Amino acid sequence: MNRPLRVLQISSTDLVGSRFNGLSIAGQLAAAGIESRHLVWDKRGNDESVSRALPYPGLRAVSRLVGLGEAAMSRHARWQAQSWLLARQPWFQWADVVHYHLIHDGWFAMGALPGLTRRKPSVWTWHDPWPMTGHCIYPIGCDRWRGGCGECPRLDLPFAMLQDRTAEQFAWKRGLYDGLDVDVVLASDHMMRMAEQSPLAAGLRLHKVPFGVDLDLFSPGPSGPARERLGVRPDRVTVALRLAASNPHKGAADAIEAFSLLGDDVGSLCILSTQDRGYLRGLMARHQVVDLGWIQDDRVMVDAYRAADIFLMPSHGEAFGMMAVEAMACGTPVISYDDCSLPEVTGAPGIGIAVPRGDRVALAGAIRALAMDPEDRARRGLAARAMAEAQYDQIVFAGRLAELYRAAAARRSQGAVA
Amino acid sequence: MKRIMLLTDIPPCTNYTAGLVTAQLCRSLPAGALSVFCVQNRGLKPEYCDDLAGLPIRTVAKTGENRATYHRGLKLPRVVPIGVELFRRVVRVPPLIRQAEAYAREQRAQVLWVVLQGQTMVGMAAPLAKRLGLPLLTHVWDPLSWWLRAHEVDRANRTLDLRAFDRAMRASMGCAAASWAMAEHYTARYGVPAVPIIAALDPALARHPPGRVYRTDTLTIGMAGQFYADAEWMGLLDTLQAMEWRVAGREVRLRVLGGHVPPGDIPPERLEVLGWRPQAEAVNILSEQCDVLFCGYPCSTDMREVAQLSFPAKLPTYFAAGRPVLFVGPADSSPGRYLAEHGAAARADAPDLPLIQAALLRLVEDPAWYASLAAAGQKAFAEDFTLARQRENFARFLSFVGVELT
Repeated sequence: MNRPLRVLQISSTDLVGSRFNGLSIAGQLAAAGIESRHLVWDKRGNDESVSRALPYPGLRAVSRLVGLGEAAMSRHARWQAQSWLLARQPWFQWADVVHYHLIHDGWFAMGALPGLTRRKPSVWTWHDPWPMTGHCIYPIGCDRWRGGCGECPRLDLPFAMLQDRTAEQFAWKRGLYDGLDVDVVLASDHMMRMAEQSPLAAGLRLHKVPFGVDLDLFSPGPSGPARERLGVRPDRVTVALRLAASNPHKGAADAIEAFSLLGDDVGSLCILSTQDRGYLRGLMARHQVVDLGWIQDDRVMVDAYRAADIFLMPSHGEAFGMMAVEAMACGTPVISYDDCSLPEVTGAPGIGIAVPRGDRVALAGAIRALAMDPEDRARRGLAARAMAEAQYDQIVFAGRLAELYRAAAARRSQGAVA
Repeated sequence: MKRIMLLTDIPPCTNYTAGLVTAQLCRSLPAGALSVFCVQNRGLKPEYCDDLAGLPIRTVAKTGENRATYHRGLKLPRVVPIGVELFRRVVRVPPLIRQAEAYAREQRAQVLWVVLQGQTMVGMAAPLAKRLGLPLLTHVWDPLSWWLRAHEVDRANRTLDLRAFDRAMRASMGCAAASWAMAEHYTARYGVPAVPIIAALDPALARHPPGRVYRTDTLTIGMAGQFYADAEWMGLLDTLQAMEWRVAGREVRLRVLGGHVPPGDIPPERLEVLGWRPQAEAVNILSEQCDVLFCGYPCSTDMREVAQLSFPAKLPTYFAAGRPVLFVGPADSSPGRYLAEHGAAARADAPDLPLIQAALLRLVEDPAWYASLAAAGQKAFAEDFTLARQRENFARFLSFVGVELT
C-alpha cells in the first residue's frame, strides 16, 4: 500500500482529552505514515480533520432522553441505538483502522462494538477501568470486579446506579467481549495489571502504550514571568492542582483538607488551581489562592506548571495521569496517592511522592516536606523532566500507535487472505 | 460672546456630582453669557453656589420618570405604567418645551446646551432646538439605555426614547461626553464632534503623600462617593472576609466618605463612615488617612454599555489624593482601559476573590509597585483632571458652535 494508513479516531469529544484521543498527535502520526481523522459526538473545535458523528437533527435530544431512561433503569451504554449507524458514516468507510477512545460516557451503545469491529480492524484505548467493572469508572478499594461484581458497595460512584445491576452489566460485557477482535491499549502498568486480573479482558490483545506529551511545549522554564502572568506572588512556595470538585475520584476535598492541616512553619503558600473555581475560599486567610478556572490554552497550562514548585494530584483513581506527566515535563515534582497509576507514572518514591490513598495527614506531610526543602524539589524536578523525556515523548507515543495500527491492519488482511 | 441657555435636570450646585461639574463649567463663562432652565426632580435639594448667585436660573418641576408599578400599595397591571409613560411623553413634556422656549426667548439665547439625562430631557432637546432655530450642543453623563433600565421604562417607550436620543445627537453640533470612550463612540455613531468633559479639581487640592503604606500593621482602604457597583464592592468585602481582614499580616480597615451607608455586613470595628465631606476635605482624608482607594465598576452584562462609556467621577478625586487605586471592574470598561493605559491602578477584572486578593497582596508586598501606582495616578490627575484641562475641553466643546471661550 503506497498511501498512508487511514485511521479513524472515534470519541465523545475532540478538544477535551485531545492529548490522549489522538488529536494533538495528528502531526506525529502523519510523520509516522498515518493519516488520522476524528469522528466525535460533541465537536467543539474547528479542526477540519474532526467531524461530528451522526449529525442527524434531533438525535442528541433523543440520546439524552435515552440516557435518562438508562439511568432510571440502572443501565449504562446499552440503548444508544444510533451507535449501529456509525458504520454507515463515510469516514468510517474511508478508514483502514478504527481507534475507539471515550465511547462509554453515555452517547454510544457498547452492543454496537462487535459489529463495528468486525467491519474494520480496531483498536480500543481503555482510558479508565470501566470496561472491566460492573458499573464504576474506578473500583476504588473494591475487588469485586475480579469476580463478576454484584452486591456493589458503592452504587453512588459514577456511573451511578439506582438498583444493583452490576452483576448483570458485568455479564453483559463478558458476552460482548467474547470473541471481540480488538487490540486494547492501556497506558500504564497499573491498568495492565488490572486487565490481566480481569475476567472480562481475558482473550483480548492487550498492549501497554504510555501516552505522550509535547516535550518542547511542556518544558522547564523560568518561573518568574509565568508567576507574574498568573498573578502569583513571587516569594511563595506554589502548589498547583487540578480541582475537579464534581468528580469524586479526583480528591479535591482531600487536597483542601491537606492544605488546612499544614502548620504555620510552612508559611504562606500560593495555591494555584485549575478547572473548578470558588472552592478554596477557606484557605485564603493563610495562603494566596489563584483560581485559573477551566483552561483551554496550553500556554497557560505551561505557565501554571512552571509557576508551581509542586504539583498535587490526589486522585483516588487514575488510569494514567496526563497532567502529572505534563507537570513532570515542566520539571515540577508530583505528589499523589498510591494504589493507582500515579506512583508508577511519576516515578515515586524517587521522583514523585506517593502517600497512602485517602490519608490526608500524610498528604499534608508530603506537601510540607517538599515545600520546606527546595533542594529536594529541585532534584526531583530535574529527575521528573528526565523521566518525561525518557518515557513520555509524544513522538514515541505516536510511533507506538502507528506500529499497532499497522499490525492490526495487517492481521485483518492476512485473515481475509487466509 | 453668544448667549447660551443650558437646559439641565440638575442645576450648578455643590452637593451633586453633576451639579459640581456643571458649576465648574459655568464659572468658565463670562457673566451674562449663560442662563439656565432647570427641569428638576421634585426630590432634589440642590445647594446653590454663592459665586454663581448672579446666574439666571428658571426652575420647573419634572414629573417622575420611574416606572409606575404600585398605587397605594397595590401592584398595577403591566399596561398601566406603559400608559403613564405615554401620558407623560404626550401631555407633560410639550408644556415643558413651551416653557423652556419662552425662557430662551426671554434670555435672548443664541445657543442651546442640553444635558441629555433621562427621558424628559432627551425628549425636549431636539424639538426645543428646532422651535428656537438655535444650534444645539448636547451633554451626556450616562448612556440613556442605562437610565431607562434603572427606571424600569417599558420596551415600547424605551424604543421611543432611544430614537429621541438618536434624533438629539444627530441634530447636535457638538457633544460633551462622560469619557474618552464615549466621545469616540458618539463621534463614530452619529458623526457629531465630541469631547470628554469629566469631573475636575483645582490642582491646588492635589496631594503628593509618601509612596508607601503608612503603617506596618494596618492597611486602610478608602472609598468615596456612590456605591453604584454593588457586586464589585461585595467582592471586596467577601475577599477581606475570606482573608479574615488581614493582608500580609496587616489589619484592614475601611474608611468611607459619602452620603450612603456602605452595603454589606462589615464588622463595626473595621469600618469608619465619615459621611459627606467637601471636596478639599475629602481629598485630604483620602490622602492622609488611607493607603488604597477603592473604585468598583459594574461587570454584569446588563451594565456593559454604561461600563464601557461612562467614567467614575471619584477617580479624579482619588488621583488628586495621590494614593494608589484598587479598581475592580471590567478590563474593557472606560475606566478599566484608562487605568491600564496609564498604569494607575491595581486591577481585578472581575469581583473574583482570588483576583482581588492578588491585587491587595501585591499592593502591600511590592513597595515599588505601590509607589509607581501612586505616582501614575498623580500624573494622570495633572494631565487630564485639572480645572485647566477641563476648561480646555469645554472651550473645544463651545467651539463646535463657534463660541470662543476667552
